[in-house]
Amino acid sequence: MSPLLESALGQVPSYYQSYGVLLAVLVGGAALVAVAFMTAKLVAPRRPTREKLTTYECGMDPVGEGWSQSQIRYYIFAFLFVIFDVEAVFLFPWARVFEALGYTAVVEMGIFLGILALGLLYAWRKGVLRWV
Amino acid sequence: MGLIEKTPLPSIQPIKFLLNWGRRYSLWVINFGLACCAIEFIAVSTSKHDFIRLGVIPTAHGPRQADLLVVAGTLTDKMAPPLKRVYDQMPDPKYVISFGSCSNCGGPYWDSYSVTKGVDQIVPVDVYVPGCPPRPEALLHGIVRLQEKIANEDIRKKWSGQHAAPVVSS
Amino acid sequence: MSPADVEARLRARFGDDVVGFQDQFGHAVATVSADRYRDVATFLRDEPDIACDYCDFVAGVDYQDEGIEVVTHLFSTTHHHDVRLKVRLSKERSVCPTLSDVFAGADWHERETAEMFGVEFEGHPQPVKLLLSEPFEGHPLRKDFPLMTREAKPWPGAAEGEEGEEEE
Repeated sequence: MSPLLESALGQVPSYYQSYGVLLAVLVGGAALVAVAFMTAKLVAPRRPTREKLTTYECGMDPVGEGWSQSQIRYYIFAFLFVIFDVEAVFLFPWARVFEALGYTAVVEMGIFLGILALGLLYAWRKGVLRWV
Repeated sequence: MGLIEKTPLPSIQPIKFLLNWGRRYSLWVINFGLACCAIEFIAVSTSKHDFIRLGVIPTAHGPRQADLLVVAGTLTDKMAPPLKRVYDQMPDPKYVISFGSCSNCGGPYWDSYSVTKGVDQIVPVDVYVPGCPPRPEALLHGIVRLQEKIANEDIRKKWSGQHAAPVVSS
Repeated sequence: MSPADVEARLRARFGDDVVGFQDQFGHAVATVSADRYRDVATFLRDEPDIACDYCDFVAGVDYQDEGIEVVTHLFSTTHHHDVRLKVRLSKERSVCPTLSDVFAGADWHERETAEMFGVEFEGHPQPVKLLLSEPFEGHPLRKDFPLMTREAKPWPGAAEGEEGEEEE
């Protein structure tokens, strides 16, 4: 990213310039979507009829609720994933610098991992790691 | 809002050409397959005959993402209300191909107590493809005839709900 | 079990209520009276040697003046033999007890037979039309229901090559 910006801006990008490019991309993306939908909404003819707006149920009259019950296991797994993903995010920078910091850094990270491992053991013993 | 209807733009030939061009080469289809003709339709969608190269993509997510309804097979009186409902749930502008003799006119079962003799009693048909069942090439020909019909179409008339005369593809 | 054995068991149990019995090409066909129809079906299901646990179909035959006959085909998935039950009902009052609580598969077949022949199945949990659309009037598979082809043109006679009045 940086060499590209450097050639585009003619100089090494400053801290704010990099974020400025990111902001421009975000605004451009949002603008594209907004313009596309607004154009469709403004330009296209609208012909709503009562039957057209009914809920689709293969041509039959819809019966019952549109909501259905999800399985709890998806939530549990997503939850555990988030926790261990955040743990991984902490592990990566530590892995780059811990050699310079010495054994204390290892011990501290060990304590952190140990606490999270205790949580994983708890989840395991509670039976939430079973998929079925 | 429908701004484009209020401008004279759709009557200008280049815009008309552009709108018709876009519409006819991206006819996403919903297969209202009822009987043997549905199998023929599936055969046309496979790689040997392949109507996807004509822009007709069988999304089959439902009528809401389709602009072409292909009624393939015998329509019984009990199935007629769901057909009408599915047709109604398609967004405009929409087209209907009646595929096979059962949906054209009742076909070999015209004398049955339960068959609707022709889906044009229920939905307005744009192209009739005759056959029992029609060859896959016949459906390809029918789609090409529909595309020609759309090319010559006046989009204003379509928006105002006037239905153009149907075409028999043979 | 051979058809003869089935006949022996049925007659031993139900006596005169088994109105008729035939061995059609190795298949047992029993004609029973309408009042014992359910009992015969339950017996055929529960008897361990016969064990007809699968109801294949329930259909009707229109014999015009002689009445309407309800035909049920029961099959044993364990012994691989079958029994066909026939019940003759009068045209004026074609009422037959239901088998839907004895065999779950009979439910929809009885609905179809009811709408096509006008047979009323007593005790059926949901006697609504199955295949015909709601506003349909009449019973299509009866012989006196007008056939649209014959309304359009008369019977053309025997086709070529068929034996009949026409000469080849």
